[in-house]
Amino acid sequence: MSIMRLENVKYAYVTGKPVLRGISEELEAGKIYAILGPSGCGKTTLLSLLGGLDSPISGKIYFAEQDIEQDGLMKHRREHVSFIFQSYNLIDYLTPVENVALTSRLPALPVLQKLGLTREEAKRNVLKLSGGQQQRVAIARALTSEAPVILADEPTGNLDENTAAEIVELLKQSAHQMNKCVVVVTHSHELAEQADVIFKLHKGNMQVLNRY
Amino acid sequence: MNLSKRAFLYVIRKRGKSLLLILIFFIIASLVLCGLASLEAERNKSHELRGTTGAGFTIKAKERWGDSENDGSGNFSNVAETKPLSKKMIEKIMSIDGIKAYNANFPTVLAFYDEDGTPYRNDYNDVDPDSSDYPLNLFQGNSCTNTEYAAWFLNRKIALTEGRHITKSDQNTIIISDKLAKRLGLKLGDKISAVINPQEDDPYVTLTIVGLFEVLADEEDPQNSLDSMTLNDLYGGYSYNWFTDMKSMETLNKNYSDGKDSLEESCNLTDFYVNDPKNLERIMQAVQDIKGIDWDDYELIANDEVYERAGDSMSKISSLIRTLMIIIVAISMCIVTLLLTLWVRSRMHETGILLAAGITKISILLQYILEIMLLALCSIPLAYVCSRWIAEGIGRMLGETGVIVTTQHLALVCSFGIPLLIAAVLLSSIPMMRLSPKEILTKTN
Repeated sequence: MSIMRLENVKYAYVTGKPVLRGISEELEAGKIYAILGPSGCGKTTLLSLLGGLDSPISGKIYFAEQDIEQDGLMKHRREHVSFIFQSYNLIDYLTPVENVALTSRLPALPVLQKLGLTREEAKRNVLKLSGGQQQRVAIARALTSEAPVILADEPTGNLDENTAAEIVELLKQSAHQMNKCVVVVTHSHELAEQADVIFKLHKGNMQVLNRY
Repeated sequence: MNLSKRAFLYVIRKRGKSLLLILIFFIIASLVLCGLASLEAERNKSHELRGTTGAGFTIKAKERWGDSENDGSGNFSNVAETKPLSKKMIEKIMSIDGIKAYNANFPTVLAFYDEDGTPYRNDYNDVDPDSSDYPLNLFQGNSCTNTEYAAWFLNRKIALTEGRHITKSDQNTIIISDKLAKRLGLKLGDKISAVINPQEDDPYVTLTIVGLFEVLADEEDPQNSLDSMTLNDLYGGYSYNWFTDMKSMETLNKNYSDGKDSLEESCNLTDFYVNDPKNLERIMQAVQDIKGIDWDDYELIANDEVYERAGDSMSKISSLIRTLMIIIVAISMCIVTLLLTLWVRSRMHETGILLAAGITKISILLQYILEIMLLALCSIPLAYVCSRWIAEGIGRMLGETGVIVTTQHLALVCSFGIPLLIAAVLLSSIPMMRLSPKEILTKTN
């Protein structure tokens, strides 16, 4: 059964250039989805719309068959989705533990340690961490969230191979074991191949490349 | 994590920004507090001035000259008639709100003698005593119901330096100038024997000196030589004048009384003293509106020279302080608004993240407001303590003791300042809050 559904979603930039030309698709809980496509094709935009960060110019997006706009985008962001941003988007005056605590009531330290941060690093100001460490904090923030949908934009972009593999494994666990719906935007075909469904976004249209 | 924890963490971890804002709030609050203290000190001084400069007005009975009369031997003379204020008229005037007291004046000329009967010489006209038949011991002055409210004292032409004023209940009392006392070898407590006309069978009265005054006006100034309280300038200016009580004058004037019960009803000059010089015009208008007084018979003269002079400089200072305060407040508001706009703008990225995390706009705004309140809480009490010290210094510099920052000033600063800060944060946040989280994050990433 679908947890999220897109119904003829269209989006254009302020300049008028169309980005998404009517996308209809269903996303199920317990699966991991990968979205591939060239730079600037609208992958991040699609993720933003799924996450309620913006609104389509036409069409609807449903969560549990409720129109997210009617239900309230704020509520959708708070209760239904959690983000892993490409540029981490951490609060600069908070520690990793405190950044995770922004969206989660679960203990942050074990997850951070699992992702390779030491206790000391977890209590340091985030600006004093490396890019890779900051990305792990952003991932931890999403993984500890109780939201049933995880939206990840290039989650392994700044990570080494081993850590990237660990992250992918965690995302798969979130989907298959915790029954979350995980949507990942990526350039990495290796990561995409780990997904249950691969979408390709091209010239505003989305098609399924593979279903596993 | 709740908004108050986020606010607290921001304030303590962004030390540089926090300290900068604390410093700016501190400077502005101190300036405003000192300004308020100065304004209040000036207001109090003004109020004090109004209460002590003794403004009032004089009602003078106009002289109406009758037809010339032939005395039978070819000499023609005419007599001026006046209509002094009656007791009833004075009561009506005194019933007007704002009039504090009055003084009736009866000017005349008295001859002065010492206790041995030797005449005191009036050396004003410098006449050779051996060649003149003219009585040289004549001095002019006024008997009063209350010398404290006599026009010369009110207008600060003269000021009491020793002893006390004469009141309605006094008898056998006199006030002279310190210069005259020195010239005649007299001091407080000494006695003068006085009579209106020593060549007639007029009664003598022994008067005790109960007060001495100094002359503040310029006696050489022609404008000061003759005014409503003097008969003529033959007997000298302010320093040659005297004041006595009405009871003594009733005795002295026995042979010349026109049958009236009280000499007060023969006074052509009555001075009235008001509580607040600011109300003088209104009160004088109210006096003129009294029914039963024919104003064709009287002249109404304002006595507010001193207040006008002092009030002028006070109002200039007051105006300056008020202008400075307006400038300080206006500039402060601009600085605070600009600063908070920049401060909120610098939080744009954070706002986008918080919105993306599902934190409501209200929660974010409340967090920012709480942060500013925490900073204000640090700076305002500090400003209060320092401004008390600064205000004291300003007061010492200006020779004033009343420049004090009070808790009322603090309350005023808080009650206007805090809503202003909140408004500045809200206004600065509006443009940002209108954007979607995606737009914010796109702009800031």
